[in-house]
Amino acid sequence: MKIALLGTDHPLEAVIAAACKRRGMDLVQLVHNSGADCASLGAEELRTYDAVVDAFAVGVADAAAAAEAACLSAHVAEVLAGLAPAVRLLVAGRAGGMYLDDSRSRRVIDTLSKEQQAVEQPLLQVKDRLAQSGADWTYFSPPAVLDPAGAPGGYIPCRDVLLLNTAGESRISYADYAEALADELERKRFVGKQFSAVSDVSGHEAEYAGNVIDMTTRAIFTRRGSYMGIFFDVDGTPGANSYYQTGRIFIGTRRGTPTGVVNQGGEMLFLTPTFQGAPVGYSVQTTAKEMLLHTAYGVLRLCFAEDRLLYVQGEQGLGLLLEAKLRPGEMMKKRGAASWEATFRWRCSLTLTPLSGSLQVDAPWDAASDSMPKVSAAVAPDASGSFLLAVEESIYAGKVRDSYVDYAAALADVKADWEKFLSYIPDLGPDFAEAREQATWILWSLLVEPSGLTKRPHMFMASRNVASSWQMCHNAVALWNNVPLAMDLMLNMIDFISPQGQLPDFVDDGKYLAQAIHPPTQGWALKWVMRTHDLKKEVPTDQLEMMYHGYGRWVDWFRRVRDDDKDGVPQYDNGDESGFDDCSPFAHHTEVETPDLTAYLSVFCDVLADLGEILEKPAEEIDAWRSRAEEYLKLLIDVFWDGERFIATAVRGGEVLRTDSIIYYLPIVLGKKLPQEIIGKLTADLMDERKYLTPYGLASEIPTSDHYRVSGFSRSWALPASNLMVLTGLYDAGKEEEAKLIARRYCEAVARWSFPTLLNPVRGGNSSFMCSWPACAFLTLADMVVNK
Amino acid sequence: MYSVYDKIEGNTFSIARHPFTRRGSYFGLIARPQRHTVPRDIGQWGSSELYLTSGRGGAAALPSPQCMLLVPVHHGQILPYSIQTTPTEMTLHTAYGDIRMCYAEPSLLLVKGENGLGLLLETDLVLHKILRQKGSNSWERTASPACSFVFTPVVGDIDMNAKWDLDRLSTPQVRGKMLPNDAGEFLLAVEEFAELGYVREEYPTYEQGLADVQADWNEYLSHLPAIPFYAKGRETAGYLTWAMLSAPSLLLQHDQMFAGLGQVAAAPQQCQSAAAISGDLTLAIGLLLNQLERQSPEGQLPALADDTRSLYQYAAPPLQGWLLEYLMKKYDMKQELPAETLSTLYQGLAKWDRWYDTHRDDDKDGLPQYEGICECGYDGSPVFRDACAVELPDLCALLALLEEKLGDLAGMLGLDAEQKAWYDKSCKRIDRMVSTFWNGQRFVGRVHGSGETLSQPSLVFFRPLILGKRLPQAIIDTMAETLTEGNGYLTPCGLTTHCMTSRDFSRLLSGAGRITGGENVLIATGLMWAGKTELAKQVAEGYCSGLLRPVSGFYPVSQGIDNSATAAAFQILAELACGTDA
Repeated sequence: MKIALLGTDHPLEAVIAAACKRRGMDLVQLVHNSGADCASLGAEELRTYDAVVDAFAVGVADAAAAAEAACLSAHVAEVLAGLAPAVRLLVAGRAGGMYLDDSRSRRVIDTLSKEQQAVEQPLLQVKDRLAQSGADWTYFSPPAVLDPAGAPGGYIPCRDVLLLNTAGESRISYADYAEALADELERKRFVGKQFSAVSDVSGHEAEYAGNVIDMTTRAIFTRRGSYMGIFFDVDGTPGANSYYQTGRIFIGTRRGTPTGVVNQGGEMLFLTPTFQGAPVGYSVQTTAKEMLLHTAYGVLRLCFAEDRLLYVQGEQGLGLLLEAKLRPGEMMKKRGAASWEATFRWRCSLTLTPLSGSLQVDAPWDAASDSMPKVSAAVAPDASGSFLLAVEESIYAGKVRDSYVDYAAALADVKADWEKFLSYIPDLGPDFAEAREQATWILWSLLVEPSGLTKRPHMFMASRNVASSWQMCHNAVALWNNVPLAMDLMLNMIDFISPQGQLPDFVDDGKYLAQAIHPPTQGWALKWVMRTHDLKKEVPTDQLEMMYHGYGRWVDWFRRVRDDDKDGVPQYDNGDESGFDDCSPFAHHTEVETPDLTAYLSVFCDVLADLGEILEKPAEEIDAWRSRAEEYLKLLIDVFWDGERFIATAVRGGEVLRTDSIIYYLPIVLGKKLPQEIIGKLTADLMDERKYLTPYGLASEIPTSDHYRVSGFSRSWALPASNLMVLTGLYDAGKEEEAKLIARRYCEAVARWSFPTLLNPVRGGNSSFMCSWPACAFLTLADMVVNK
Repeated sequence: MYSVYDKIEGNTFSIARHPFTRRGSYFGLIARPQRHTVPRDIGQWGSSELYLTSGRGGAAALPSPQCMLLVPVHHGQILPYSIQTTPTEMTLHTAYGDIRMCYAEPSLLLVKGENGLGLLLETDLVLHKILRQKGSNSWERTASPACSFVFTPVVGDIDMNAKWDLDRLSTPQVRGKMLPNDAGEFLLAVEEFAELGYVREEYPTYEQGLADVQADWNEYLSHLPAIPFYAKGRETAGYLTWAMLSAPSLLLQHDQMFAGLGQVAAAPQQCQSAAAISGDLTLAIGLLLNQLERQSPEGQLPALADDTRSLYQYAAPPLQGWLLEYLMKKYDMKQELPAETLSTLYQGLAKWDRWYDTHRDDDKDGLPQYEGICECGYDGSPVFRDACAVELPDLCALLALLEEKLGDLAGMLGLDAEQKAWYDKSCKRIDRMVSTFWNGQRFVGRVHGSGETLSQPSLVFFRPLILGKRLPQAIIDTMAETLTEGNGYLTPCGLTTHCMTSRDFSRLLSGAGRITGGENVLIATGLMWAGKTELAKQVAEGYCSGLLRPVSGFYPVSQGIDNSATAAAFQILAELACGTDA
């Protein structure tokens, strides 16, 4: 294909030329010098080309140059009208004629200053004349920003309405611009039409760099303590990427009751930015403190002034539409002069108060359903073009406050709260600086205040599921430097200890599940905190007493309830109880004696002895705990170590199990209490790349095992719990370099793939939702790698 | 063919409508229609199956709390059976003999079989739910969903097929048989646990279990008033108010009344239930204290409160004052209750009263508004047809009565100044109510905000009768006259909630025409307290009789005592009708 590129030697032209030449096009660049006679470009000269690219308007910056460019373009169009359809005309035009939204009521030129309009106006007419010219034409309008330095990453074509990419920008790189033109020359998709394009940055990790929260992983934007958050609905396709305009955001709740109720999800109010009353597209940018919805007209900003108080601020004439479908008995009620309260049964109420701007609610009453089934609330800006909406969550009847802080004060408050929380996390050096912030934010956002059943701060595992009892231990370990919080996370399970001494599995504000257990790793967690903190000085005595007595009963519970064959060796009653739900020792058995449980209890008894010493308990009581720790250690070695490796046994039938699960290596939590020979053999296996060691940490099942499955939970993935506990144990066992080597691999992998719970041990990658677990493992292991 | 058939003469209750359970328990046996059963056949022979189910709040939040299907078998063949119920024992009659069940303890059900009968135990489980062996031959069904059940063959044996499936992390299909011993007998213990369960070293015999539950029931029954004319309903109503009492657990610190298994009674129903069981004052006050222990910092009481959940998204009608009036007519509260309890009641209810001033009186005129039908309790009432926020006289009356009772409590606590303030507040509210809502002929209401008058012929406008003689006599007389026979409200089965001659009258909607226990209780007690004893008894007698023996299908009364709320209403009104009311 022979192409003539007519222009003024703007740098973009060279990029266009290069792109065309890469495709094998025969491109000739004809440079026009300012002031020269445009009539020199005649039909004879252009006849020999298949297409002419008119780039006269590219880079034009003043009115005189614009007039000249328009004149040149008009002339070329006229010439090519006589050569159509043999010679195509592709005009590299301007953005001024692009419409701002689907209403096609305003164009980019309308938003410009008079001086800028004077430049755009003559060029605007070029496109208008094309339709009448008779030429075989296509007009390319660039987006708002031309980026000389942007990397090539593909482009998203559109027509005459501005499109924002996933970074919320109307921007195209020179490289993508050139590709778009070259594509059009080849594919002829927009003959006789105007088209545009923006750089596709959705695949560029660098473009997400500013986003602390990856909402496609089902994270929510919230604040520590809050049950309310901004959720992301990706059109019912969990795990799908969130491309421009494919998802919706809504104010939702993670309170326990709705999460357990089918058909009563956490969604409450759906949010849509508006301009002059009409919905507009947006992209989402998140920081730890603030969420920004970028639109073509400006930005909506959201932050949590308090854990139950969300602010939404609009500017430049932007508004906000809030929509809800209420169920029977749910209401939208006027509150005070300008506020409205929406009630959501079994969940909470949201009180909407326009602090500036206005709130217009359309919520027709339906007596038959005792509800306003369809609610539409429009927030409009004030005369200055801005608004500020306060959304307050309450489990009780809502209330309008006498006064509210402004947005800046709210942002300052959440910033201070966040920075204080972040200050507890040790510096992890430049390599992990960004990941440190992301992991910390994950934990911060998953913390909720006491409510309903719970009496202390509590932590969720994921956006809607509370963490289990052993995850609470991992959470406490990650937050070891924030002792009061770490202790609360440990104590909230003891608040619900059963008369038999059992700790519940899960507790949240509205649910209590104690019909299952997870491993007794509380001793392991306390031991971790105790190595850097003097609990006697830093933890109130009543809390230490509570732990000493509560955990003592919990340890006893295992001896009494989890030893069916009365051999002194405790058992799990199914894989779930081990924390590695479907791990291979449980392939054919539910009740299994695995070595990790005995090891956990040995550690636990030692820690109870330590607590006893802190609390100055009678010596015989302390000695009894020490003896039990030794008994469990002896049992572990006598029963489970076969000279080469740890094994497990089925409780019913006594079958010896030697599968290839990481669970056999958990006894390393005993550190140097294990004999050196055992430490050496365990370490050798863990460092063997034909076994557990992968580029991304430790696999949960050896890849050559018959039980290996890249599905389920514990038969392949590099899991946070096993990496955390095995590697800290390895370090304690004196294998510091080995532990650090593996930990670095794991940390780099989870940081790279947005903290996946399930990390593919063969190819890496993100295979699951956002969760506290990998964040905990990362913060603890990265600290070990960097600071120890 | 297996079935549930409940048309056995002498049944205390129908298993098709009520669970078999025991006071204090969080689990029970229920009948559920088989999948193919059409609605009209529910309760008929062959239509239903018998399930073990949990009533804990966490379970109630889930769509399917059924935990285990129970089917009688004989030599492996499933059998048709009918069910006979008494408060303490349930018997499955088969052609080969009986299977009997009783609650030896609130958490321990014993099932006894004879003559070679056995029992199928079947369920399908999903991810993380398993049935696992406990001890030598017991089986535990975990996460069921808010409790665990341990099945132990005390006599006989369990043949269980519950294959573990690692990929499903479950024992997906549970197919078990409770088999008799060589003597043809079995005794199965089913124990419920909030946490993981365990096998006891020994279990009571069936006879011991039955004796225990009978003693418990007899003790409860002894507190219920004798109602000679309504003996037939006394046991059924007594069973429901007894069986629906759940023991303290998690957020509940006192016994709590449930409407059905897993469905806790709303706050007004708790008040009427407390009145119904007020023969045991401590038990009755416990129902009130449960509400106060969940009070919000601003004073709001939950509309519903079970062991794990509280509902605050509407304010249920404040019947606490009515309850205190009822109790105070029966007891010298100062003598009967510890000062600490009186103080708790006083402090909490005072905050509740003030909550209405803060949150439900936007125009601060002393006439609070209901916001939504739930807040009034008149579901489907035409009064709310065009507006959700309305000011009605009954809310004033309920609060005025509460304020007077708060004055009484203040007096008992020696808080004389506060006593006077409460009495003044009560009087002023009544005066304001009368001057605003009494139009010379009847009470009316108004739309909040617009002031538009609401004058539908609804029984809700007669609720102010609970104020008794605090109302001017002329108003009492006028209202009482309207409630006499022939004026559209009084039927041989009690009072309808909406005038029968109104075009808006509906037999289907509880607030637009049905005869409901709760409203009949309020109006009948109000009439009684206002001195209209004869009319009060007429209402009460009609309601109780109609409940047991409907006069005509025309009158929209419940078909029998259908839940603990109806049972409570029956107990209160039967006592009133029999003339033993205080």
